Amino acid sequence: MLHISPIFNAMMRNKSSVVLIIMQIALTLAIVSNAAFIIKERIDDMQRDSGIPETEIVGFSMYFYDEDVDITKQLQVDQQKIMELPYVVEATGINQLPLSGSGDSWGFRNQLEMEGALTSGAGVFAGNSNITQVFDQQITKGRSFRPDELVLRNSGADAPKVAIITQALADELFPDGDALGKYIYSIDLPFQVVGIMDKMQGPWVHSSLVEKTVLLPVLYNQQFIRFAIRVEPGEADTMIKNVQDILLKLENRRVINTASTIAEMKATSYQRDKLMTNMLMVIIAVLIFITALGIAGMTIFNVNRRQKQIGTRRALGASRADIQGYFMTESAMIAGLGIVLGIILALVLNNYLMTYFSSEALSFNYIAATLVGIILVIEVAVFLPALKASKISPAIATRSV
Amino acid sequence: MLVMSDINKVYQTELVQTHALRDFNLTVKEGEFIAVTGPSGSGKTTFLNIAGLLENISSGDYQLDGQSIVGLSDKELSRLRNEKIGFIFQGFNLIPDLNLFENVDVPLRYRGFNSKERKQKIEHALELVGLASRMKHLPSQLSGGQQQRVAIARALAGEPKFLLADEPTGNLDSLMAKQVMELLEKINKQGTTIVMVTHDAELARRAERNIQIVDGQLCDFTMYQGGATANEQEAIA
Repeated sequence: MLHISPIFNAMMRNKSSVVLIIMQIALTLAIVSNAAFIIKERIDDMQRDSGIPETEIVGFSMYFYDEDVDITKQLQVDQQKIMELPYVVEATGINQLPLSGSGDSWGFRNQLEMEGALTSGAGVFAGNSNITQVFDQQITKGRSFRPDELVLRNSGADAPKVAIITQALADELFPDGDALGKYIYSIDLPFQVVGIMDKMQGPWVHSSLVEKTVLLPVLYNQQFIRFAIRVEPGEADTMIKNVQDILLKLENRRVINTASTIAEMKATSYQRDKLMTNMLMVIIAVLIFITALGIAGMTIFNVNRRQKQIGTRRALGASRADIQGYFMTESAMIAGLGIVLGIILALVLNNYLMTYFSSEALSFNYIAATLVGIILVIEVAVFLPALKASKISPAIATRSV
Repeated sequence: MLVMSDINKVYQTELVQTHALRDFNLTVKEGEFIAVTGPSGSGKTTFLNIAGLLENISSGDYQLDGQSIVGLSDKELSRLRNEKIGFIFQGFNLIPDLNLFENVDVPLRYRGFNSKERKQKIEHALELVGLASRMKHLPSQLSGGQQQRVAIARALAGEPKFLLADEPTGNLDSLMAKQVMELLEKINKQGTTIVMVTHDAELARRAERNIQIVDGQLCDFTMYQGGATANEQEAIA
């Protein structure tokens, strides 16, 4: 700490270039720490367990263009035919597919009366009574649907009476942990919770409702409907290749869209996140590179400008290590000032992102990691110019130019 | 104080080999004030650099205050420069971003004095050159003569035994030059050995002893108040 006060005083008398570099470091710290935090958030989202075997479930949509087709009946025929295939585990017609980015949500509450009720939205999957098996759901409390609980909506039957919900929704509507057996209500329709499953994500990966899911045993009579098939591991491609031919042979008054696995749908849903993550990584790298370049450039400029001064210092007793230490200390002090300002800017930026983009509060770990990274990058960037400075001969002090 | 024996300094480029000093012998006794003169390109600056441990010698031996400098590391040479030698440069070589106090402080920091010791020595040195009242000023706020006096204060602050002055009045007008010269004489009278390189014959005459360097060799000397030893005369002869 030999030189801190004279270096600081000298910097204060020669502020302009120093201030620019301090600003650059501060902005880099603010942007990089927030960007790193956003990247981590996105990666965490992308790596979340969806609760379903994504690569083993094939899904597709189809449109029955002839209104005379009995759709609920056809869905059962389709299911029966598909399940005859040796590589199929389970199948069902369904209103929406998990992680696909498209589907329905309903509002639920824990009591019939609106007043004082706990409420939550949830993604609603309506399919055959084997729907939990299709998505390989383990029921942690209660039971799966029974076949007699299936409701066919074109038969004039009422809405289903039972539901299976995820633990996340159970916790929201019944914080005391006693959801099983209770009723949940959507508008005025009651559904008794007969089973609770640990985890099954809904259709919208960016929604706060993604972990809140309700399964209902009902087949809708909708011209636009979907189908979900769970196959043996490694058989998804075979299913995707064959499914159109098989189903069109059964009923050709429909258009069947190309099937894909839930894993592929998930990848599409997270495409923007992946793009953003990659872009932010590039921005981080560029910013750090520019900052390193800036401070290295400033040090090179200072070394060249101060050659005589360096020679004089050497003549007055500075060793090579002292000269190198001088420039390393100077850059570390500039980095330090930039970091102090950067931490403030990072928190301000995070506050803005929280207010306008629903970001989470920036963990100080990201600021700490970023500032350690910036100090290391800066010291590495300054090392060579500082080494060059230390090699300036003290004899330069006696040269007249 | 300073004994140079058979010193050679050769600068080697791809095409040319230049002998800046040839078989150079010189002894400077403690407390002497020597003026070194010679035409441009004669080797004065090389002599100054070697005497001040700013450059290594190609061959020969150089003993400073009884210690041979041959084979010393950069750190050891830096330490010796800092402890034994004070430098006064023609262009003053003050650091423009530091005030007078901080400029004089530079060699003292490398010496490792604590802040109280440094403050005492800086104030004393600046008082000696008559600039104690301006220690918070920047060099750019001073005249050339004042800047050189600060440089002298910086050279003296660490109480070196040996002062090397490179054209100390070269950038000053005659009045300022006279003041600086009087200051150097005063310092010498207090016991500090001074070797001054100069072009100015009149200034040189004020030194105790003159030596002249021509073509890298000590070719002549004039003794004004005694000083050269018999050995030196033999070496020069």
